[in-house]
Amino acid sequence: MSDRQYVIINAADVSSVNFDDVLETSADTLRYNVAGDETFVKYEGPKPRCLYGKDTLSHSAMLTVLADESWTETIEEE
Amino acid sequence: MSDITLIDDSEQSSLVTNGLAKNGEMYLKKAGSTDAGSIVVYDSGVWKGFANEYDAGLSNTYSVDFDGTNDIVSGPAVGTTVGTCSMWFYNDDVITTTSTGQVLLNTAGYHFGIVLGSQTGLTNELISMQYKQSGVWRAIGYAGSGLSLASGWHHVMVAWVSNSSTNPGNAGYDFWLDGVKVGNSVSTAPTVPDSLASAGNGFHIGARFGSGSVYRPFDGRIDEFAVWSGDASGDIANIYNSGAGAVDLNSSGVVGTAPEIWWRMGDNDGGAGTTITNQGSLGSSADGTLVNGPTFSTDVPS
Repeated sequence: MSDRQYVIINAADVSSVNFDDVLETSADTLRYNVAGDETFVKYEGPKPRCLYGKDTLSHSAMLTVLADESWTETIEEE
Repeated sequence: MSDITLIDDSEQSSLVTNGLAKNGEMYLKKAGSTDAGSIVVYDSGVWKGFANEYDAGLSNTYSVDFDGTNDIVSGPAVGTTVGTCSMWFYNDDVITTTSTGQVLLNTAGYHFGIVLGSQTGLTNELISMQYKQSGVWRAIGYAGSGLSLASGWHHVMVAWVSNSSTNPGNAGYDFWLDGVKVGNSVSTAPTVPDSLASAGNGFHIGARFGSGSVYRPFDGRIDEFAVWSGDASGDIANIYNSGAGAVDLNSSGVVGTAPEIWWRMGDNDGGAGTTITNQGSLGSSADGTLVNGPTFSTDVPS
């Protein structure tokens, strides 16, 4: 996973993501934070144009972010 | 010394159909046929088989690597219950009873999951099955103070057995870790899911997926994922194979009943693409789909 890069985006910006350029399958398969106002996408190779201007995280840095309680609920509800 | 003729399934049938099969003649099943590598002998209208004792293993080149962020392999809605689930997994992290839960299997819509580490419903759970009944999260599984699971390849089986350790005297799910039966910890009653967990609403491995997000993703690799509608725990010794990795789950020399779902995680798909071709009896109706970018790895249990 070392060559993967991750970018956190606002939920409101999902519509601007070109899913042909990222590894996520579609807008329907994204993972959101607990508040539901942020998600992330990942890519390999050149940074997709739709993500220009946004910060990039490594795999290990992304795992650290996701370990925070703002991304991982104690008990998820359905 | 006489030669032994190599035959495949079609040729074996033709021998009988054409009246060419003779009592006492031996044949060796070709690679790719049922019970490949076994010797079969025709005896008065019945084929007698001799399991391949030379090599119970199976060529295994690929597993699927989950990055621990949102990777999933998604399975379709299929008409089977989860009587037994078996898989190999490589946990990148040491799993303890306080680790954030990581989902190996989730059957959508039934609040069912096989989870590594802490989730809810039990105290000090290391491997558990999570389900929700009467609005309350409950769990059964392997729990105990100080338990941990080192990073590496491990095998897990969960099977619905008639006299369960988690529901003594009654049917319920029991657990095996690395070939050894473990765990009889239960939460408050009811101590078993209200029905045999169904895959009728689809299922996922590598995370819980639903309600518009991805939960508890697994960080590591999964291989040789299999589901039987019945209890396959009697074959745990052959399936675990002393920790030596993949075995032919369609071989009668390994298991009494072939699984409905058997995902080889790349070995039948050239380690490429986004489809996991089902090798179980349900065929292509239970193919898996890589979602969000899991990758094929050449690290496999051995």
